[in-house]
Amino acid sequence: MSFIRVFQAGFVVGRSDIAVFWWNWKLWLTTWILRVVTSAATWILLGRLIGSEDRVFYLLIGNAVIVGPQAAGWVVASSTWDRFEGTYPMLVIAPSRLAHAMMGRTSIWLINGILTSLATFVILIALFRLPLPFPGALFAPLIIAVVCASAYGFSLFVGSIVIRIPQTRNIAHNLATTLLMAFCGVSVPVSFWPVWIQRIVSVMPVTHGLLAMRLLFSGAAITPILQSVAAEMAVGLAWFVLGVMTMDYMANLGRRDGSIEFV
Amino acid sequence: MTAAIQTRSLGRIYKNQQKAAEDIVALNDVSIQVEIGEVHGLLGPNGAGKTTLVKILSTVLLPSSGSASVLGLDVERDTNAVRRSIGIVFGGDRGVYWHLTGRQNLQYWAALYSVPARETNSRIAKLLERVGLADRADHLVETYSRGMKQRLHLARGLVADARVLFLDEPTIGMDPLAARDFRELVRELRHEGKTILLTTHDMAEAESICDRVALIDHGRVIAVETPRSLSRVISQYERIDFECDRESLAEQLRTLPGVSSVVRLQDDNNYRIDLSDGSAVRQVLDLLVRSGVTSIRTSLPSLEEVYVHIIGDRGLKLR
Repeated sequence: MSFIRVFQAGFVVGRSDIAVFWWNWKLWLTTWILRVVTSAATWILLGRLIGSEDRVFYLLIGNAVIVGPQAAGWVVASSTWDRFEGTYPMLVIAPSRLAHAMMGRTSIWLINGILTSLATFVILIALFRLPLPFPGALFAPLIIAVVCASAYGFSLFVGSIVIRIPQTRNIAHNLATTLLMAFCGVSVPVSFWPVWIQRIVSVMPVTHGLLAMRLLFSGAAITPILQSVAAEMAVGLAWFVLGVMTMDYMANLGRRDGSIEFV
Repeated sequence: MTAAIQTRSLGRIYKNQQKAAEDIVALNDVSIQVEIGEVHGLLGPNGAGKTTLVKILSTVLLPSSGSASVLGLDVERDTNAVRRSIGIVFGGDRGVYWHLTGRQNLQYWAALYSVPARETNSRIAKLLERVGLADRADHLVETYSRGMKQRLHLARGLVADARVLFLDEPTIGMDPLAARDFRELVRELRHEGKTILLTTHDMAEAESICDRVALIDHGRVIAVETPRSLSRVISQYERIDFECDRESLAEQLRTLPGVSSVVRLQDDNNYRIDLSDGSAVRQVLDLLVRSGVTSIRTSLPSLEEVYVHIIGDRGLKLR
């Protein structure tokens, strides 16, 4: 009960955060979504210029999905905003858990990620006429949500680290999303990379979920799809737990060395 | 009976990772006790250690040495229990969410302090009324003046109805009228049985609302007394103002034992006598009356003069 109430209260703060960027859904659609769709479409058009329709669909799925984790990646920056606002020490000493309030505030970016990816997907499918395998395609939103949630867990972990050095929040956000884009199978297959990189990306968000998405659209059997979704969920959960633990650890470290006071 | 707040040989050092020799000692061997229901002031210049002390007591910071407890609960061992027992107000206009309304800010903190949901709205409405923000409760905080933000801070600190309150420079940014209302509020809180630890630069504020005052400098407590007692510490510097048109009387006064100076004030016939020994008062007054002076005024030094006397005339310099 306490968690739900704190989460809800934090969510109100998160809603006010996003309203600073887009104060209504029309602005969100005409500025943000237009931007991400244009960016994704550029990659897909490049694929059409240099390759086959298969390459187009590969790029479409990869780029439509990754915009979700990119958007959810704002969690990294928003984790540090309480430090700039001077509310962080008060959150740390509130009787509720710091992580609950943080999750409430940052979850708006998860929602933004899911909606961004879904909207991009729908627009790109319409633009590039991707054949939809019904009824399997109906599970696509679910997979997108899992991928974004997994990326949220990862971003929460990165955010928990940059809480200590909030000036690095944008660098960390960009670095994290670049890693996901470059190595997790968005535009380049994971198999392209050396084995050691493949091993690393197997514990990164996006990799397994994106694979599940590709399997779904290629008409694969349900079992490998579910296995990939389960792997994505496990990876996301692991990052999330690590993020919450790191958040508590950083708060205590800040109390010990005094860095909690400063930005 | 358990003290509301107690520290024993409390110390806090900020480590310099590069040069150990440049570690900053923010608190050094601080031992204070604040009784339940007391309004206790912490007075000192910038960098004296007042805020560090409040931050340790409110569990924002960990002490480097010594111990501290709130309502008998150790701030290191019983951290969560301490947090449930305290309310805190930091000065300045940071620490509230500017993109929320005043009411939403309080709802947020009420949730974090587990204020029962059915009580939240009525408690917040009363608090907003109490701090004079009822009319602006549903406006975004970014439209508030600095003083209004400070009042919102105060309401935030009270939202949990905690037994012990830490007020760190709570009147910063408030206009004189709001500061006066704040003092009245503190008096009301005392009547409700709250224990209040207040840091301030404002001598008049400390003098008017504190039961006792601790003077802090260089991380050490120099004195803990009632504001009145502190004034008496330098009562030998008691002063006597009188009106007279004879310079010869001033000369005569200067020869008396215990008189450190007799100076003519800017108004032509007004003089001020500074004493270096309180026992000289009777002798000085006797001479003035015998000389036919009828306009005489004696006064004890203000807390500000005590402060300046003990800490020194350091002005704006930080240590």
